[in-house]
This record gives sequence, structure tokens and C-alpha cells, in this order.
Amino acid sequence: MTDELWNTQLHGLLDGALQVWRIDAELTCDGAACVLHPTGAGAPVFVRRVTDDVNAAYWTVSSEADSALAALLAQPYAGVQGMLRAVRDALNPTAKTQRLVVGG
Amino acid sequence: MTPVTVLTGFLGSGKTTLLSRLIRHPDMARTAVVINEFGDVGLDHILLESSDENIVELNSGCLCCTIRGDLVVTLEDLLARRHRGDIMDFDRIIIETTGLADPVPILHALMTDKALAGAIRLEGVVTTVDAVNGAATLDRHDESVRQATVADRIVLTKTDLADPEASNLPKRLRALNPAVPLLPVTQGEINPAQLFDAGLYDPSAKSDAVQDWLKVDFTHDHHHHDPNRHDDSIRAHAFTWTQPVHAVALTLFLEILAEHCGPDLLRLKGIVNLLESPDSPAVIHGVQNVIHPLLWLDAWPDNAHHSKFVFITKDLPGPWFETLLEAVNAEVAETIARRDNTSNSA
Repeated sequence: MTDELWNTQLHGLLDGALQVWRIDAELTCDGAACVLHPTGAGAPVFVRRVTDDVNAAYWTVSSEADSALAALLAQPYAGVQGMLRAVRDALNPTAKTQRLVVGG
Repeated sequence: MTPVTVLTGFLGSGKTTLLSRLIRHPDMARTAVVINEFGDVGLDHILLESSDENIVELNSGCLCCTIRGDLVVTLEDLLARRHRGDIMDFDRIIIETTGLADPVPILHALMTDKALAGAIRLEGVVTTVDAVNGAATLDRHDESVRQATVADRIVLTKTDLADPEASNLPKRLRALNPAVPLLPVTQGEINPAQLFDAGLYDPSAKSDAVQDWLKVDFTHDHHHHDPNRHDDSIRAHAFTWTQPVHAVALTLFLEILAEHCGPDLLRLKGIVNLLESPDSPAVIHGVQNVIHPLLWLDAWPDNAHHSKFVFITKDLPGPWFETLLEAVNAEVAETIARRDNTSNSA
């Protein structure tokens, strides 16, 4: 799948995630990126799928928010899992989370 | 490991009547019972009309909220006393919850407590719903909805007093929990074999349980649209997945569900065609962020070999699960293909 197609299809994934997180945000996606504009306060968050020159694919999550958040997000995410976590943390830094437990 | 069955059901739904009948059945002679009651003076153990030393009463609060630790201690003590020979040996444990208990935290505790790991295994959840008041109770009490939602068997009680169809009760229960068998009884009369050894978490008998929920209609979500009902936010989502799933993708999928859905993922069941194990499907069961270790079937129960998932959730968007699995599986496939291309060109 091309980066353009990934970025376009990301809409369904992020739209559902916003419902899971109970976060109100306007979501727009095109071939270049997805942008989440939080309803009310909060800076927009940009999500992109990138394939670099050596054919490695990753996700970037960025924000125009304060430098601390920008620094937190300034890293590539190898997969959907890290990307979703970064988007959620950017939109709601105090979200309570759980980890998978394999139990009997 | 000793199988543990959680017997739950709303106040007055017939749990104690059912339990009273069950423990008198010859097949249930080697059963230990833990009863949880509200208040300082419990009655249920008296109503059971038994002085069996294997009946333990917990009456310091409700299992689901205040005394989960007490439950663990009680189970540990029960197992220790059996080991010492202080009490009659037993082959199974039944935990009767209070009528107001949310069973989900109890299942969570049973599945995750380190002290009990290796000694017990959760066999399943039996929920009583009475034909007289069951529909109204679902309307009014969220606890009753959750009790029905997580059930592996629902016992419809008091069917001699009211026709459950008259209040549309079976349809509502199936909307909450599409695969669950509904077992009508009067005066608690039932063959224990219909409730126990159901095989949900038992590798030796799991095919029957899988067959039960394979009967789910996988073509649409199961949902009421009535904002006045407590069960309006509880939904069953099901989908079929025709492509094999990478094992890594399944792991990532479950990790993401646990992290993001957590308490709102009341129950997850699935049979999965893993790319790495096409002839032996994996069976998954989960409660909230806790997933039971994968079970493996010897063969597919049907010829389609398609993965099937059932999610019972509180206010979660059903289509998202399929979208998420599609994304994660596609990403893993691309990563593997990219790695293989790199290896081949090196």
C-alpha cells in the first residue's frame, strides 16, 4: 500500500479511535496526512505515513503545541500501535491506559 | 487445575434456588461453594440447607467492589485446607456473587491473581435471569445487563410463572450476548452437565463452546435502540475475516484493544486463522484487558476456515475493530515483505 493510500485509509482508523477515546475532534485526511482539530482548546495534531529513501516505513505524529509536547512527539513510530498511542497522548495527555495481561 | 464457575444473576433471579438444587445432584458431590452476601448476617448458606464444610460464606461486602482480595484469600485458604486434608476433597468451585455484583471485576481477579495462577482455572459464567422480572430488571439495572453480557450460560428461571417470550426476554438477551445458550428451568431443576464442563476455557471440550458462538450472525451489529434502557450502551459486534492473520498482527491487535478499550471491552471471543497455523485455529477469550492464553483446536469446526470475532462492548464503535485488524495485519505483511525483499537483494 502506498503512503498516499495509507494516509487516506487512516481516516477510518482515527475516526474510530476518537470514539473509543471519547474525544471530540474534527478529522480530515488526504493523501498527504490526517489532521485532527480538537473541539475547543488544543492544537491540531498531524499524522503521516512515510516511506523513506531506504524503503523503511514509519508514522510521524506532530503538533503545533508547546515545545514539550512537540519534543515528545518528535520521533518516528514503527507501527500503528505506537502511532495511536502518540495521537491519544497528544490529544489527552492524562488518559488512563491499561496494558494487555495474559491470564488464566 | 480446579475449575471455577461464577454463578451470578440479579437479586431474586433464582441463584440460590439453582445452587441449592445443583449441590444436591450426585454429580456435584465434590463441589466447593463460595457464597458472597451483603450484610453481616448471610442467609443464602442457610437456604442451601446444608452443613457442608465446603461451603464458605463471604459477607463483608460485594465481591465486585470491596472484597476481591477477600475472595482470593478465601480461595487460597480453601485450596490449602484441601491440600492439608482438613476438608473433603473437591473437583470444582462455584462462586455465587451477590445480586448486585458486576461480574467483570471478579473475572478479572480470577484470571490475573498470581497466587491463584496454576491452581484454578476460570471455567465460565452462569447467569440467572428470571422470566417474571428479567426484562424490567434489564431496563433498570446496569448490573443485570453486565451479568447477562458476560454469561457463558443463561439460566431462565421461573418459567413456570411467566413466558419469557411475552416480555421479549430471549431476544433482548441474544442482542446482548448473541451466542449464549438460554436454558429455561423451573424451581432450579437442571442437569449440571448443561452448566458445567461447558468447555469455554477447557482445551479438552472447547469445540462445543466454539460451535455455540459460531452460530452468531456475523453480518450486523446486535444492538437495541432505546435510550431508556441500561443495555442501550452495551453492544455485541461480530465480524468475519477471510484472510489469514499474522500471529504478530494478532498480538498487536490484542495489545491495542487492551490499551485503548480496556474497561469498555466487556468480552472478546474469537477463532482465528493464523497464517503460521492454518490447520489449527486459535481460540481467544478476553475480559477487559485480560486475555486468556490462546487455545488451539485440532481442526476447524467448519470448512470455511475464516476467522470470526465477537466483541461485547460498552459504547465502543463496532466497525473500528475490523478497521484496526485490517491496518495492523496489512502493516505486518508489508514489513515482512520489505524485510524479505531486502534479504533477497542482499
